[in-house]
Amino acid sequence: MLSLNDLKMHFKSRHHIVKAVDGVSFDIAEGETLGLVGESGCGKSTLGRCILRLYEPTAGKIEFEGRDITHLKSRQLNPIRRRMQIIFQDPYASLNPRMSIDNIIKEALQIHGLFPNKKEREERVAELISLVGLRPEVLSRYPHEFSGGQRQRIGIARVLAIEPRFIVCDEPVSALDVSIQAQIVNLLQDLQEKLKLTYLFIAHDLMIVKHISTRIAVMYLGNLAEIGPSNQIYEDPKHPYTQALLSAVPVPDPGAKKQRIKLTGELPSPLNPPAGCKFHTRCPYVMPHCKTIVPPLIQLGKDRKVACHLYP
Amino acid sequence: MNSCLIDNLSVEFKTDNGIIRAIDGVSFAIPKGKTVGLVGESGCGKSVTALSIMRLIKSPPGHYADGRIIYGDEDLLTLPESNMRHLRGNRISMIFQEPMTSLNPVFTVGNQIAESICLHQNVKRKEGLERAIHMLDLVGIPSSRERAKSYPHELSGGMRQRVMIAMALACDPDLLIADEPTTALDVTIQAQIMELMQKLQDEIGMSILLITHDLGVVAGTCSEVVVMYAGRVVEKADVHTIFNAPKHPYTVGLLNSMPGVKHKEKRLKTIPGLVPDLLHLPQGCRFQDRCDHVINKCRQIEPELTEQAPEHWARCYNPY
Ligand SMILES: Nc1ncnc2c1ncn2[C@@H]1O[C@H](COP(=O)(O)OP(=O)(O)OP(=O)(O)O)[C@@H](O)[C@H]1O
Ligand SMILES: Nc1ncnc2c1ncn2[C@@H]1O[C@H](COP(=O)(O)OP(=O)(O)OP(=O)(O)O)[C@@H](O)[C@H]1O
Ligand SMILES: [Mg+2]
Ligand SMILES: [Mg+2]
Repeated sequence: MLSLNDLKMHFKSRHHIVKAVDGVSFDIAEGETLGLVGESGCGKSTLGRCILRLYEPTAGKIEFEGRDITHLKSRQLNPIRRRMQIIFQDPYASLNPRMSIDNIIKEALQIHGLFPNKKEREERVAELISLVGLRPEVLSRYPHEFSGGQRQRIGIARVLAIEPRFIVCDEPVSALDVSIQAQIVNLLQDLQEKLKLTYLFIAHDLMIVKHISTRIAVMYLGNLAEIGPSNQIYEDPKHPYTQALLSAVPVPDPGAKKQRIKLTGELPSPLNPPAGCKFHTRCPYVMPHCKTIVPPLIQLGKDRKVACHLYP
Repeated sequence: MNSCLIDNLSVEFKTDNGIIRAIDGVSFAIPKGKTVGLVGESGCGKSVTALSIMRLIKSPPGHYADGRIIYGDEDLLTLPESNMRHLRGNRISMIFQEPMTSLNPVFTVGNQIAESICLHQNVKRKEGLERAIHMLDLVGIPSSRERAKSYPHELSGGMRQRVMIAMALACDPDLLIADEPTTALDVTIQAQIMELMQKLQDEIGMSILLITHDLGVVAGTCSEVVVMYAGRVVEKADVHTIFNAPKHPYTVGLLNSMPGVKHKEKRLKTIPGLVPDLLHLPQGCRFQDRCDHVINKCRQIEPELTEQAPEHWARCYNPY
């Protein structure tokens, strides 16, 4: 379905260059969910936006359904946009405040010429809004009349409206309480089964990511640290960053004793990333050559890869 | 001793379709130096409660229909706006749910934090900026001096959220209202931020109202928990009681919806049905249609919030 090859996205500004995504390669098969996790600011959203070609990548290649879309112009992208969509991290910023919910969803259908019949369109809108757990009564309201989580669900309904094949979900459920979270996650999974949808699922809640993903990619400062089947990553994390991340998952038990691996050492900056392995400033197992040699992403076992000098 | 007492608070909004009561008779206390967790279904009124404490409900369309918010020995709802402005961002500060809507896109983040510091602390511009950079360090933003020169859109979601946190903590507030402060953060940074808040709590006795749907965070940081549903408080107790012996069926459903830490089920458990529309509330209990413990009486008269065990309050006729 999707294949990334050494994808790079660098932002240049007056003072500096941010290498937000700095050489990422992976494939996603049709009907699969790839979970993408990593430290805040490591480039997950940027990667998602590059894939949808909301940005033009600095280097590398993106293939979607077998076609190279890396440098397509916006007109050529239109038919593809219907097939790939993004659920944004910041729902408020992506809903037009002057349009009622009804019109927001209808507009999405109209842009892509779906449901030209008025009555069918109205039924479709009502169906979509119930799918995300809101009542059809709310359709006449405006975005500011909703809570954060309700707005997020409206964003999801709008994306589902045009029946894309591939969806980048950028923290789709982090604004929702756990019972609605569960509803949306179940909904995404049902749709996947029914329509063979493919997801890139970006999230910070590692329990949710584990639940929904077939495979998981862990990013650190613009690069992949580790990628593999989700149960293997959780049961036997190889990269020291993945180990620290998993140890910090909050446990829903007030009596639980915490054994978090604390990352000490200097937080690296994407404005001025460390040489060698970018994680070396905080790694508990750092070795001398980690400070100078970049670890390549190597195959480890059948379907796992890791970028760390501790292996093989 | 209480830092803040919310007493029978109701807030209404005028909409095209009628008046909705977003929160209805909400009461709870935030004890001094403690963290109270506020949880509940999306749209149940958590942010409205938080904004009310800051007195930031826009009027119109909103208005405070009933109740008091006691802070110190004053009712914040009747305080003159000039006094309120002095408290806001200084003694009482807030981390907002949606960082993009509360950061100004045309100023650098360093300037925005510095401005808030200068406004409240009577320091010079240059010193304000130095403190801003120090705050960015504390919330774990690398190259803070460089980053202070960034505009909000140049930052990732989690960085923006940390800028908001830095701004809220810059003036050592006495009461912190944190509305989903860590949703956009990865767990290692989240743990770091929660530790920072806890440290401030230990050092200056800051009290915290923490709104979050991450029950793991609630378990790790809160001493008391208030559960809301459709504008009502439905249960409140200390954190151990809420997690180990919840009474209200909504709380039970909420706890069951968490993805399992060990076993993997194909589907997550949910609470079936939809939250009622605030314009068309049913007669009786607001949770009746989704409740697995419903009895006849629930469909007739709404239950009161009653003390069902010492210090354990629930709004239910047929609790667990
Ligand atoms: N300006 C407004 N006009 C009309 N209704 C409003 C307004 N602001 C909030 N509401 C309504 O008040 C209710 C409570 O909203 P609030 O933002 O407090 O929810 P919340 O508990 O914070 O939810 P979430 O977890 O999704 O953030 C919602 O049903 C919302 O639709
Ligand atoms: N439009 C932009 N201009 C300049 N820099 C940018 C821009 N967008 C992102 N960046 C930078 O790129 C890096 C990666 O940002 P990105 O939003 O992809 O992170 P993320 O992994 O999604 O983080 P989070 O989990 O906090 O959302 C950050 O250092 C950010 O400051
Ligand atoms: Mg992001
Ligand atoms: Mg809210």
